[in-house]
Amino acid sequence: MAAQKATIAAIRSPSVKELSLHPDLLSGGHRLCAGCAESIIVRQVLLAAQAPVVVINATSCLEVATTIYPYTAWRVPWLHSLFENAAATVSGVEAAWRALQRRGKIPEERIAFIVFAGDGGTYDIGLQSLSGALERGHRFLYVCLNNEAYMNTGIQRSSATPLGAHTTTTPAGEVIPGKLQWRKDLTGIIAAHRIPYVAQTALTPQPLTDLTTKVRRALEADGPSFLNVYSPCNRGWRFEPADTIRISQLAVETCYWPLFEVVEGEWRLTYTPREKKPVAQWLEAQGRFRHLLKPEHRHVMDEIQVWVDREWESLLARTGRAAAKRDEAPPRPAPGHRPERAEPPQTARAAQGEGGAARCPCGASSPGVQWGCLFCGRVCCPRCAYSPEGLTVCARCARDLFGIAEPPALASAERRWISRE
Amino acid sequence: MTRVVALTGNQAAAEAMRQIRPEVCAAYPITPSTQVMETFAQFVADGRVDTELIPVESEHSAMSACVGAAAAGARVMTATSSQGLALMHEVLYVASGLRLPVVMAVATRALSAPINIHGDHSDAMGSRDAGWIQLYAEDAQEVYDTLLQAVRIAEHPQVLLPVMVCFDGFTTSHTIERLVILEDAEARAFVGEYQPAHPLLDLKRPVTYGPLVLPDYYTEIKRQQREAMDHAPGVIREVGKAFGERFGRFYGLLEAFHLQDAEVALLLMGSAAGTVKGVVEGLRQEGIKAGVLRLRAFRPIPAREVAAALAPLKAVAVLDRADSVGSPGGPLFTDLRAALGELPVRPRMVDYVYGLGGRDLLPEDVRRVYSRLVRLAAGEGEDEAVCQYLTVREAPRPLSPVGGA
Amino acid sequence: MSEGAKRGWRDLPAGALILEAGNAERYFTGDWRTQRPVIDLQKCTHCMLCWFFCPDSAIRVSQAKVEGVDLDHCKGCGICAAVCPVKIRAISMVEETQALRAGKDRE
Repeated sequence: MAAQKATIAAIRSPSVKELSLHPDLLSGGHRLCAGCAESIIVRQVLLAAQAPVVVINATSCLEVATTIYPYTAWRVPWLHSLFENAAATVSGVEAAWRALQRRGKIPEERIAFIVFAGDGGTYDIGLQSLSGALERGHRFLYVCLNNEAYMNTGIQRSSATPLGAHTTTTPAGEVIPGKLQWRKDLTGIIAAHRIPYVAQTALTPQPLTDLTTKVRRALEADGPSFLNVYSPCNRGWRFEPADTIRISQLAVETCYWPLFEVVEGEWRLTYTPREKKPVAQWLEAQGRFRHLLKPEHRHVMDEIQVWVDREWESLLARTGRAAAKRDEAPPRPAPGHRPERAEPPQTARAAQGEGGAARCPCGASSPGVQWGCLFCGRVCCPRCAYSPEGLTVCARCARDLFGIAEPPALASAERRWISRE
Repeated sequence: MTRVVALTGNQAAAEAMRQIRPEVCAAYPITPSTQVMETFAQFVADGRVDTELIPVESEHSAMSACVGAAAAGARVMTATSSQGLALMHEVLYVASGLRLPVVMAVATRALSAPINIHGDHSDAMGSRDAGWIQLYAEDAQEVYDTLLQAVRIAEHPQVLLPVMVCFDGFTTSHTIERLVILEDAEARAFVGEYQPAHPLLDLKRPVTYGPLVLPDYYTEIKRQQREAMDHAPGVIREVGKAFGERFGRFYGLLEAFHLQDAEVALLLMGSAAGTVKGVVEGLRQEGIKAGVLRLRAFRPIPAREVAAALAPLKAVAVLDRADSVGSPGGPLFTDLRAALGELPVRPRMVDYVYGLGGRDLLPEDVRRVYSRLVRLAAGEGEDEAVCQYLTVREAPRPLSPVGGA
Repeated sequence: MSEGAKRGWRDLPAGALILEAGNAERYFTGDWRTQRPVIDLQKCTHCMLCWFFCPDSAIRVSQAKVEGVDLDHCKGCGICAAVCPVKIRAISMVEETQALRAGKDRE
């Protein structure tokens, strides 16, 4: 196993110049939006693959835009079946390849079976079939083109959508500041299947060949492999088409989307930014987060920074780059509002809101555990807070926005609280 | 050379699959078809067949893997029932739309809710418009024979459609019957080799399977599917005849029993035909000109053949083992009524829904239907509903020692 | 941008298979463009970043050298100009109307 690990780690992508000598296996003339990251990723994946490639595509932007009948942009065998079954479909193709070889019906030849699916087809509706295929150990590479929402149907939230993002099903409104939940840690879930190779990557000039290197490594793995590729969507995220690569790089430099890999269970960072940039730089570059710039939603931005910091720290610990602090237990995507969280982020606004006293209006002088309200950012103690589905809403907002009766502890404090304003 | 063995319908299906030797099987267990894949998995484990068995995590994935393997160029088989077939539903259309000749054994079973594991045709009827050929077997022998034929029908270049071989859950799937099994070599020679025209794994000629087809071409692709299904009756007959000439058991689109001079007849599919035939033998001795028409093919529906066979009759009753709530009758009834619509003079036609969720069809139930047909044939007016439930308890009834309701 | 007459159902491959790989290159997306990249080959260092990050396989390269832009397929997204190294800046985006006026329909 160690030998295998070392072998995989030693694999490097050829230089871009060398790759440019290979034929492009995705033609022009497909109808993805101008500036789409998906076709760039696909081109790079296909350029990096050495063995002949057979592609299985889940229903997605990529699928519809590259194969509008009677045209196909694919110069490799390509199969699309449905939205949620790409991993099951590739299981059948790969099994057929083994069976047909055994019976001498096709030449004995290695084939790289590569699945392309979006985050909807991977994080959500396709997770079951993916998990099943990984557990069964079919030899294929699954590439998730992660644009953090259902873009093919018009920008609806998925479980890959980050907190605070505006989508058409989590619109930023007068009351609710976009999506209320953190994204799912899918890469971690996939790694938990203990498959030989799992990685997170992106289109970045720096490091230039992170994606192509990981494709090469993934295809060397003896079993299933998985790449979670960050795929900025200029229509869905609201940025200029020319900025696709810049946004990718920012996600990496802010450590919102760290580049790492898990080789035979060993976590390794493949890139450490020289200077970790504030996540605000990445957020501010995208229209989907524009509402977070308003003062009343500013605290969500702070929460995102706290979350990114925590995730980055736990990744550093996991990859042996920093001492494991509170990371003895498997790190969890720390939701800003989970009641069971040990060290909640005390948002700047929350602290200010209470004059730096960090005190719940009910009078709890030393609540021990406090939360910032998702809507107003004020501190609220666990007894008073309303916590639907792991979120925290302070008692006042819960009353005003959801009609939840205020807890008795607050009833007397309420008058005092209001009068103070 | 043949062998006489005692097998359940499920085991007979597994035996046929072993002899067919598909390259890939992907399946998920569900009562009452589980035994098909269990038996087959044992064949694989014992090295008696070299199929790639994919033990998937759901029926949706089972049919998806079948689609992938069939597109790759493999011969593919699977089995399922009930909720499993329902879960496969959207993938069924992919298999037929991509023209992949997958063959599936379906031990038919009721659908939830309420949950019920026993036999009726609700599951298969739910997928009657999925573009699959549907053949209904009466007993274990026919399950075995039909699976061998189904592969040839599905892979026929003029057809290239997936085929379901349906047989009644428990009644056929779990009852041990005596049947005749062919030698492996004979079976294999009859089935032949699959020669896919455009396999996905042909790396020299990369093909795109499953593109987005917009309004400018979608209709043409669907029109091709109708054409393929239109070719199916001829091919089903041709393959059934070839099978008969080789092995002595002939098959067609339907089976007529005492229909030559009949005045009244029942139309049905599946295992209940045995009970009905028994009743007809008795009625014939009483001088009643009763007959039976059992459909073996439901998709394609042999409309012309049924119309020709029934034209001379005075009254017929369809026995539907599934209801189509909100339509004039069960699925078989509405289709056959349409089939007879072309006739200048039509027999009177009524429908009975029977056997839901494994409810037994008893000889006295069948007699009751025939006596109504005799009245109808005599031109007696009546005010009974055209579509009725046959095996339903209208009022409290004491427990019956024979398990009837 | 379609070609010829559309075939009837009898003449199409069964199952909507597309048997001609990569025929989308006959579908021209160049007319989506409102601006086009113009490469100054004098400045170009042939680092290939523009080619590597082009979503439309529209940077023409040969033997590790950039040769120009495939204007039949370039959608004018501007990624090539954006990734061209800051110290080189060999690619500029030019308004399509301006380019057409200058008679530079094809490079």
